[in-house]
Amino acid sequence: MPQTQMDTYMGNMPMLDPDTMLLKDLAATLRTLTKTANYTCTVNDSGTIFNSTGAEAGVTFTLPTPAAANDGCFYGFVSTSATGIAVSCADSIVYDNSIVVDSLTAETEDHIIGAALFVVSNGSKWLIFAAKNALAVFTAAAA
Amino acid sequence: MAHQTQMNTFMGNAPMLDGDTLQIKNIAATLNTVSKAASYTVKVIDSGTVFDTTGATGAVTFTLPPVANAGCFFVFVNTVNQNMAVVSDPVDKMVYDNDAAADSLTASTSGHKIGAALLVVSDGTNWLAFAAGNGSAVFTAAT
Repeated sequence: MPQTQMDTYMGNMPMLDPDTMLLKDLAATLRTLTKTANYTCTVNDSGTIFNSTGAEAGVTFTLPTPAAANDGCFYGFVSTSATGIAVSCADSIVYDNSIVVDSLTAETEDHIIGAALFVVSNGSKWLIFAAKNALAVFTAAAA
Repeated sequence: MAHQTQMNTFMGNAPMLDGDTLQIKNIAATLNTVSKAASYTVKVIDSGTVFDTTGATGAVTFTLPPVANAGCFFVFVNTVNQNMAVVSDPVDKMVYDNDAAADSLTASTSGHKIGAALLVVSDGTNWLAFAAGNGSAVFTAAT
C-alpha cells in the first residue's frame, strides 16, 4: 500500500534523495534495553543498545548464529554494572587476529563498567567495534 | 503543511518497513554533520548528528541534553588542537571506565587532541559512551 502523506518537521520534509536513494541528514533515536540476566539477542533487536544496569552477576548476551537472515543486524553493548557482560557466539566473532572467537567478556578488575562494543553481522561472522573507553577492555575466548 | 505524496522506487522496490520485523532494511543514509567553533548545548532534536570543532580557537564544551531522552545519540570529533569536552547536565550521568557516574569526558592530552572521537547514547538513565580507538587519542573522565 503506498504512503500518501508525510508530515513536515521544522519545515523540512523527511524523504529519500531521489538520485541516491539515501536517507538524508538522518535524525533518529536508537532503541535501548536493560538486561539483568542472560539474554539471547534476536533479529528483531537489531539497532538496540543493551546495558546491564541492575545486574548482580555477569550478563551474557548470546548473538544469533550469523546467517543471511541476519546479515546487517547490529547491536551495541555497554557494561553498566560492576559484574560485567559477555557477548557470545561460538566460532563466529572477529577480534584481534582471530575470526573464530567464541566470546568477548568485560572482566578486567576495576575496568568493567563502561566497557562497550558494537557488533555487526555480515552474514557469516560478527564484526566487532570495541570502544576504547580508557582501560575498559574485553577479553576474547576461543575454543 | 506540505506533504510528500509519492515515493520513488529503487531497483523496483519501494523503500518500506519490513512487514514482519518493522525494521528498515538495508538502511542507506547520510548523517547530519555540524561544526561548532564555540561551546554548544546539544538539543534532543540534534539526535543523530556528528559534531566537530572545526574553526574553534579555544576549548569547546558540548553539554548534553537531559538524559531522560532514551535513544538519543550524538557523535563528537575534535578536529582542532584545542580541548573538547562532552558534559552531562546534570552531572554524574556518564558511564566510562569503571565509573557509572562520570561528569564529563575531555580530549585534553597534548599531542592527541585532534581526532579524539566519541559516540554517546542515552538509555534514559545514563549516557553510554563509546570512545573511538583512534591511535592514542583519549578522553579523560571527570567525576
